[in-house]
Amino acid sequence: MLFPTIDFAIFFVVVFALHWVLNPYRRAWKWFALVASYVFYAWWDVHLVWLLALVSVLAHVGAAWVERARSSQVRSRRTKLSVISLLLPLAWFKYYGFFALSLANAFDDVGISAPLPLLQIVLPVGISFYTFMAISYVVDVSRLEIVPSPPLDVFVYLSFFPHLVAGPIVRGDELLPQIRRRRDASSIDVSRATYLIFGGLFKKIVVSSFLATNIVDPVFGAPGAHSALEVLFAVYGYAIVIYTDFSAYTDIAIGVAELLGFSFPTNFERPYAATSLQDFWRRWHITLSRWLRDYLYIPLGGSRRGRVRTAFNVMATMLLGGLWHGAGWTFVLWGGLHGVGQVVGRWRRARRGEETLTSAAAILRARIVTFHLVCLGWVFFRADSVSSAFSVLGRLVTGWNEPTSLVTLGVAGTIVGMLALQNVPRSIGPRIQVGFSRLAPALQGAMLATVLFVTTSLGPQGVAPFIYFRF
Amino acid sequence: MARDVLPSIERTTEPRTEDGRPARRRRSAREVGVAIVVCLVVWTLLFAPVLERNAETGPVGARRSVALAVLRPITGISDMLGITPIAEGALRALGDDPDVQAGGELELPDFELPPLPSLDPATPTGPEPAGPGPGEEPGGEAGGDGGRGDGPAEPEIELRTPTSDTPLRVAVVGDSLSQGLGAAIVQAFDPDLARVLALGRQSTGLSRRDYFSWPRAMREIQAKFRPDLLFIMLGTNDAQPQLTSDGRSIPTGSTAWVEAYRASAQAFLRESTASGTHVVWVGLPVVRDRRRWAFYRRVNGIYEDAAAAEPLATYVDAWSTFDDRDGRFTAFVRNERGVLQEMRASDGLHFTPTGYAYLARVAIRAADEAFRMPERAVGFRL
Repeated sequence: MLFPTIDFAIFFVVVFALHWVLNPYRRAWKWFALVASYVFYAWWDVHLVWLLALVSVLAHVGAAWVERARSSQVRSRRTKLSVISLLLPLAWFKYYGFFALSLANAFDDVGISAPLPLLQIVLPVGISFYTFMAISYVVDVSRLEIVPSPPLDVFVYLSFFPHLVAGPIVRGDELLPQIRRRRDASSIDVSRATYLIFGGLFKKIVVSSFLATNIVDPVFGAPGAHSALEVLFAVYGYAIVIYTDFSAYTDIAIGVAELLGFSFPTNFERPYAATSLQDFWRRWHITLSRWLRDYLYIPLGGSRRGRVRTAFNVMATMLLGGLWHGAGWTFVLWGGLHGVGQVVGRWRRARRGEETLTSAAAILRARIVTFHLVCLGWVFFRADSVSSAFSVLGRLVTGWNEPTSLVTLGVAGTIVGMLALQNVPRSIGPRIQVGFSRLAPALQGAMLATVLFVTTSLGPQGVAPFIYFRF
Repeated sequence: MARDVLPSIERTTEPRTEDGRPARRRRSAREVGVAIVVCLVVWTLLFAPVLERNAETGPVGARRSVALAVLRPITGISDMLGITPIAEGALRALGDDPDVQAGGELELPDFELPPLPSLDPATPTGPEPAGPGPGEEPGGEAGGDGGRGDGPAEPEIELRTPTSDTPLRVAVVGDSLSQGLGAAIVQAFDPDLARVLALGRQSTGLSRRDYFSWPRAMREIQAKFRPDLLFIMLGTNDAQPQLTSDGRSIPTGSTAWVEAYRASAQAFLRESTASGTHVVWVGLPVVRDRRRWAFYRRVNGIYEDAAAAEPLATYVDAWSTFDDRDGRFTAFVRNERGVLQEMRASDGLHFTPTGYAYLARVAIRAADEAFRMPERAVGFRL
């Protein structure tokens, strides 16, 4: 079920009412939350519901097994086995097809038929996100940061519909206590919730769709047929598209959870205002960044084993983060670029000392450089192949003095406007929310209806799936 | 007295942050429920005419009937409350004209090309499509000769040789399959020698002109762009009853449906070739869902027959291009160099970018075979 659909609106109205009715009865509520979340998931493909249940079982059994270990060595071994068992389904769904096809062509060259059957495997929606949450749950139990929860709690934790499909990746110590205790029905931060939900809808339905249709898709589909200026705006446009698309989903997820009395962590914090690549990863997909840090980078040694080992750890984390997005060289290059950028940034800071950007000009310069490095990475992330990515980059050099019909005032204005929004004072959003929170509920509803009307009128018919559903 | 006191209590109890600034006021679940319900009711009343229009153009069947049964009374209430004209005015102001067909109007992108030579005066230029609608006989009141008139006496079968000053004009039309094909065809041509417009529209076809009329769109394409070469790929959305211009429904699977669809395909092709445009009609590929096979094969036969009867048209058999040796669906197909590639998307219907690129080369080679494609115009060996 997609958030910006009438199906979801009806689903949510029913869930909202039953959620608050059952809220005082925790056991009944948990069963209800579980059923509602599985219905939400089954809306895509009822045949893949078993996978969500399987990952939940593996997480519960794994955590209980780890907890019963009598020594740290046994605990460590059991943790590794549990994590591997959780990664196996993800690996199968994500990488088998690529692996079997590569093997088939390699064997083809020497005249032998494929040793593995060629299967086209549909990636189940959200598998990465709930697998990551399951891994964090098992590892946190192993690190004694949390105690294992009852199976029903674990099932609700992993399947809770607001975060199920594309995050944010909520950790056990954040969500499990909220699942256990009844939510406060008298204290809902409705203005923040609706700000996030309706802002997210506008970002997805209007901004992302407009730029994707009018410049990004045509240019990335055939860069050779477009001028350098069009390609440049398409690259900037894609930076906005992926931000508005992905942050829209998690904003809506956080807002929906808020209406149900749950608090989720922030996932985006004005990423294009970052002054370095390291800063960018503190602002972009924050819950994935901290997951990679806590469950990959730090176990590898983090920054505690010298400069070279730190560089290796950064590169390994970013390359694996890239490969997680898909089995392709474009994602490896994207991850590699971010890795190299961060390593170079660290070395520079180590040589010159930690510098605090004080002047506005220095901050602006750092933001512009970082934004362009991020855009360079997005070219590889968006392109169908490495050669296609280089076609895009090549066109930036060769395609000047050609017609630029796709760079319209609307396209340029949207890109500039969205980038400018990354730099507005932080107080503006909260001020709007405070004003809205003081209105009577009926007036709030009427205002939200108007915003929704404008959003749905400006958007195209139908909603394209969110980009991150693929991952 | 009490009324005077209450607001002041309200004011003094407004929440504040720790540093004294106003904080967001939290609400009870009941109040939030009121806001949600008001929001949905007001939005439904505002958007009811659009929702009803969209429902009307949905596939004829139970879902459409239920949707209309629900939405018509709501639209009635919206009319009664005077909301509809306000909402329609707002929609127009936002650039969404509620009077245009639900599938929208074709918007040709800007292109810089030498001006078109004037058309033969016999070629009609009115706003209505010249071809017959579903269920209408070709040559009937709305039919005529499909816009060919007394046009060029002998069509030029070979494509002209393009130059950078007079590039080949190429267009790609059809449904979502043609959108992917269009992007691949743009990529396949040399941008210096060909101007390609990818004009595919999602959810369109020939069955429902009330949603989107390809014949009408084609008239605009011919009037403004007049392609030398046109690729058509559609049909995936057409397995549904056709609606005639008088609102009559022709059930799928009936002989009348087949005849009406044949007439639509023929008329669309005539419209497409009216100004001497060369047409490559790409048939539907084999798909994973076997329940669609009979329908796809049936319409492929109609497209092939229509193309065979038109000297300026040729047909591409995408079905057998993408099936396996036993005639079944496969996602993995060998390209012209024998390399096995994943060519079909996971939905079992559309293609991967690699698949679209291969399909584009197949379609362009078909154009070469039928109309002698100038080799320089494309970026690969024909």
